[in-house]
Amino acid sequence: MNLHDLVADLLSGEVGDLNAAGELGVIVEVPQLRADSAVPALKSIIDGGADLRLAFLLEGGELAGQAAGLADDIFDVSVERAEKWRNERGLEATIVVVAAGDEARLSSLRDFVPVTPATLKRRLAARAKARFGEVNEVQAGWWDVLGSDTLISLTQLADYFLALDGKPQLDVVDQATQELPRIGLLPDPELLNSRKQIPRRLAANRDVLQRLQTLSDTDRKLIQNNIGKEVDPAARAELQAGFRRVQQLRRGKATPALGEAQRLLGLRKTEGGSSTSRSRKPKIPTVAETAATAVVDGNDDALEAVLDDLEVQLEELDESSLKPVRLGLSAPADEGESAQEIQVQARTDLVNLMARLTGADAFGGHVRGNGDGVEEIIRRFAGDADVRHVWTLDLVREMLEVSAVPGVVELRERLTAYVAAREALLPKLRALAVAPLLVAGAPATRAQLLDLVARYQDLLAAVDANFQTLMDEFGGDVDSFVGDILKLDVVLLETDGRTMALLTPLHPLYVWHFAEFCRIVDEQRERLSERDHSLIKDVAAEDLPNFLSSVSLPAITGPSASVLPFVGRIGPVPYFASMSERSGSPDGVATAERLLRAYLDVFPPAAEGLRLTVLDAPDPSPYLLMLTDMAQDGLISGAHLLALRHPRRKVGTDLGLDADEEERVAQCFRATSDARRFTFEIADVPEHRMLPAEVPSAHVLIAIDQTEGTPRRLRELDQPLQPLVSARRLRYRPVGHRVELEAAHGGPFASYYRVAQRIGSSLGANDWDRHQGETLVKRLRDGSRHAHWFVLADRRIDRDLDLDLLRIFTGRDGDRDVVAFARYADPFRRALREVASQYNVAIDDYQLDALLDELTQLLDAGVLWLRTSRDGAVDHNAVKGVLGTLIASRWWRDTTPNGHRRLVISLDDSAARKWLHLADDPRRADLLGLDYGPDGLQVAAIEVKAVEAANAEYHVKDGRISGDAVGQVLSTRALLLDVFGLGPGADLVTSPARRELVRANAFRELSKGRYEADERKLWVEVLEAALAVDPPADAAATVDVTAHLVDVRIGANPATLPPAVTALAEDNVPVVVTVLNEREVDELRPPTPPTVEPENDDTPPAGPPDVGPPGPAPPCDPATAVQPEATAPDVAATAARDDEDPVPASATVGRPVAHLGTAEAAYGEHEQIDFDPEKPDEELPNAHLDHRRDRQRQDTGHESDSP
Amino acid sequence: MLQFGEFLDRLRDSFGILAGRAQDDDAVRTCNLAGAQWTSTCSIAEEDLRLNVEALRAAVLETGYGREYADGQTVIVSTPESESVR
Repeated sequence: MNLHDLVADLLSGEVGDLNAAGELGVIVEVPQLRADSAVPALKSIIDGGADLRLAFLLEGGELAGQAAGLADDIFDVSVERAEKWRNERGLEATIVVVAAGDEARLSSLRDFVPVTPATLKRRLAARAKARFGEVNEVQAGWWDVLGSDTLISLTQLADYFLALDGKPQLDVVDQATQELPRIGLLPDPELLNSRKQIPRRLAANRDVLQRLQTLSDTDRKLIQNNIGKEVDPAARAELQAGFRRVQQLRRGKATPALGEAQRLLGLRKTEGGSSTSRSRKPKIPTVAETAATAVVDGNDDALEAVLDDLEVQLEELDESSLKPVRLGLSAPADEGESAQEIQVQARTDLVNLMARLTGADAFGGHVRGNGDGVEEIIRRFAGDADVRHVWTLDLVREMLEVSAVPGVVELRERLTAYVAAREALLPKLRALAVAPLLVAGAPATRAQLLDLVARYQDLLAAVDANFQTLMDEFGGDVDSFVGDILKLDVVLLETDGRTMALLTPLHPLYVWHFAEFCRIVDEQRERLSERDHSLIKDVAAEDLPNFLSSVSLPAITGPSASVLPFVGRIGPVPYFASMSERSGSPDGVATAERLLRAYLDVFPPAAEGLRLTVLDAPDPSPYLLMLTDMAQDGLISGAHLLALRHPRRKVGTDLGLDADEEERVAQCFRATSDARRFTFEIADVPEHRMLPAEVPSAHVLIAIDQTEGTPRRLRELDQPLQPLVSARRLRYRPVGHRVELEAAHGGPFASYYRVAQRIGSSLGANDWDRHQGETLVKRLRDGSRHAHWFVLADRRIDRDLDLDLLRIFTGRDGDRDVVAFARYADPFRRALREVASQYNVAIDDYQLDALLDELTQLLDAGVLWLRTSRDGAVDHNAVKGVLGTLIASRWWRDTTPNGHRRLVISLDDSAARKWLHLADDPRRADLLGLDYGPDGLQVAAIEVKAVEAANAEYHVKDGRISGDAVGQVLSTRALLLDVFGLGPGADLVTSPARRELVRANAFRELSKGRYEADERKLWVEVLEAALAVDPPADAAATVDVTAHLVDVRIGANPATLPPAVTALAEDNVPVVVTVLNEREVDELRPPTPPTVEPENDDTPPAGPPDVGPPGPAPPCDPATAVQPEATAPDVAATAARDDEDPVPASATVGRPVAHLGTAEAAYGEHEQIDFDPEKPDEELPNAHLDHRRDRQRQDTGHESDSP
Repeated sequence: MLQFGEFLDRLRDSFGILAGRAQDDDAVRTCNLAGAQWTSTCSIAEEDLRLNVEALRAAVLETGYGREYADGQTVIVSTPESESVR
């Protein structure tokens, strides 16, 4: 049965019923009717006894009538005949007029009973209900709904019915939901799960379908976002297939299911729990993270399988691909658990280059390539055509073969051992170029790597030891010999007179820290604390540092040997360059993102169209991704990224995005959207300028690697190395009175440089000497004018770099320092002012700026804590925390005993928080107080509490102290004991890293402008002696580590501050508790009210404190601060000095005054306010009047404090 | 002068406007003036479409651009009824 037959059948049933009911006439207007089916159907009821007169006005009626054998007296094809029948007296038959609806004169028959598609639809639904209702009640209910649903046409319903009719009952249950597209709905297997939910699901179905059919730009973007956010590859593939169906749906070729469509539109969570909500894309663990975790947890055996998997995939890589490829691997899983997916990004171009130049008899080589930078040369590497030489050991072997001198024989043996160790690792070459930590994590290959490093070190030691023998044997050829040894596993890239070098993945100094890390963690696993376990995992999962500060090469591209200092990394592989060039690494991007997010908090309107300018980014793609992420997080609704570059030969830009990332970025940045909210532009900058002349203003301008450097020779040092953080040394340079932090070498690195120096004294360790000189500072100042916030990311940024802007952030991210400056201090000022206003002080912008400036001097990231939230709210606790830190640091410096020197180092940077396990909470600051005196160095771990609830954090009773804050300060003290070689964990893998952290923070502190040359020199000596791994016997510093708790109670009356006490904590460790109020900070001191002086007294009245420009900190106020060494009774004896207390306004006067009332004075006390008729101009002791007066004084240029 | 049906044909042929007559159903359902399946079928209420035609007819009559005859036929004119009378 087809549609027309079914409709005809329904019609005949309807007409039969109406005839039986004695109706005079029926007018049928059903477009689905065809004469060839309708006429025979009606004939059949006539044959069945119904008395009908049939006027069939539709096309083909006449023929059909004849074919059906209907006589003329009961069948006709005109309206007129129907009218005649109607007017025929005594006719009892029912007149049936089947019409299209627009025939002339049909209106005269409008009193007949109409039969419309709706009538037949109801009839069909009833029929279907009777038929399918037997299956279950839901089916019956479903057909009720269908019968009355005006949005479903008769054609659709008939089609749907026909699809189900004749099917077995069980099939009908399934098919009823599968065939929904026939009635204009999406398939929805859950539709008929319960009768109750049918209307709701039906409505949802129509909504979704309508959205898909329209598929607005917003919805398309939303769908693509949701696909991008899905991390489960299977679920993502499903969504992508669903999206294809959505696109085909619009062409009528396929139909996605309702659930699928809802997932695409983010209306429903994807199965398996992964969310497609607007949350940030969850991170898939990287192979490095997995390897680090497995090694730290002692589960490293499981890495073998992962490594095998990786090797297989690397073998199958498409060599022609120029884009990085993301490989998915299965993480090691416990039995019975399903394996989680982990990812690694493989740079096919790098792997190919390395594979071509590394083999059993290929030890790197010389490539002359085309391209502007190392990235481009690698990407454009054209195979053998670009290779000038492949290094071999032919010469070395030849020389070693011809002599039987013992030294030479020893060398030969060591070379053979090294070559053998290297050959064993050749199959792992590709894996080492992609995931070195995984290779080192797998126990079998780790042993091979360690063996390679040991054999290499043996070889270098033998070259060094037998150098004289070699000289005697081979004379001048020995330089070539050593040169060939230095060239081992180095790839030299040459372009346009520039030379760059990469280590091959088999270079022992490349694999050293991965293998060493795994070895040492394996060895110390049991001794490391749980917290250190997770710390080490995190550190190793990021990039382990590169220790090779430079490579030394014999004369290859030029007439003389050369040293190429470290520049950055390509994938995991370090590269070196002959000239200071911009590092290709993305270091600093993560911090930049953090700053951008902070910027949006401070200036919320920027979210509508964030203007970000990036100057000389090695690759703008991380910024595109960053903006995409922020858009997906709902932080921004538009952005313009302007990537500025200094001249390069190539016009275009290659974005280092893999296919997935490209798709995500395209969702925001594609050019075809109607309202382009996200745009990306690349522009060139003339070489002599920092920015183009007409550069548009930006909200945030990020400048990268603007500082040129000069290679600098490093002192020869040989010290034990550990793999987590590269070792450095503080050094005072008399020229310029600068403090430097230099790389320090040891182990195989020291051997390497010693050998290098054999052929050229200048070939020892080098690194880059970088400082922001005057010219650059001027350029940076000019450049920074074009943005609200100016961010500089450079290999090294002077801590005292001053751009006449508010420095709001100082930090380090990978191999780059990142510093942010704000043009407008208002948002930060506002937070300070709001908090200060609670303390009965009147503080003006000038003072606030001075305070901010001091905070930026003290804190690295701290000033960012002062920012307001997006809704303009100020986090009072955070501001108090920052002020508390300032108060505590001033207190520490200002209470320096005679003959001592003091230094305070803030530990608020992320590295310090991470390594010292400090809470990331602005209310709990941590300082390192150093006190150097005749007895040696005292290192105080200072925990500052600045929020009222400090009592809840520590508790002193009967000379014992306990509480959270105590636990924190004890933990920091214990770690510091290890750092200074006094604790039991001094030899753990984490201690040298913490030592470097203290060194780096001390370096940043000493680089600040406030230190004099002699101070810098002294502290460098003291700190280096204290931090030395094996301090010389005559070491100047004996070190003592103490614990201090400083409780800052802003606004507390000095009289209520308890004296300092020393109490014993766990293990009888003494903890000094000092309570301070805000008196260390002039700006926050309550103004002292002016007093009414006795008549004829020449002494000027006591005025408010000087509110002129802040200079160096005033001397310490002993009323509120005590020496940490002081005991409690001593402190009590030195309690508040009288002259510091607020002076009552009602000084004794011998004449009548008018008593006005009492007013709030400092610290909640009251004072009497009088008006003296003799002194009508005398100001009343009102803080805000004082403030106004101060402003007036400033405006008129009078800075003196005479009232 | 045009029959109302012819007028609707013109609307459809010249401007792609479907008023909602029975013969428009296919085009509406398939989102295709040619009638063949173009996209997925969409839900339509045929009765509502007919009301639409009726409403259009009433509007044309009201504005004077149509005349209704006793046999139920409506004719569209280019000069409004009121002006032609004048």
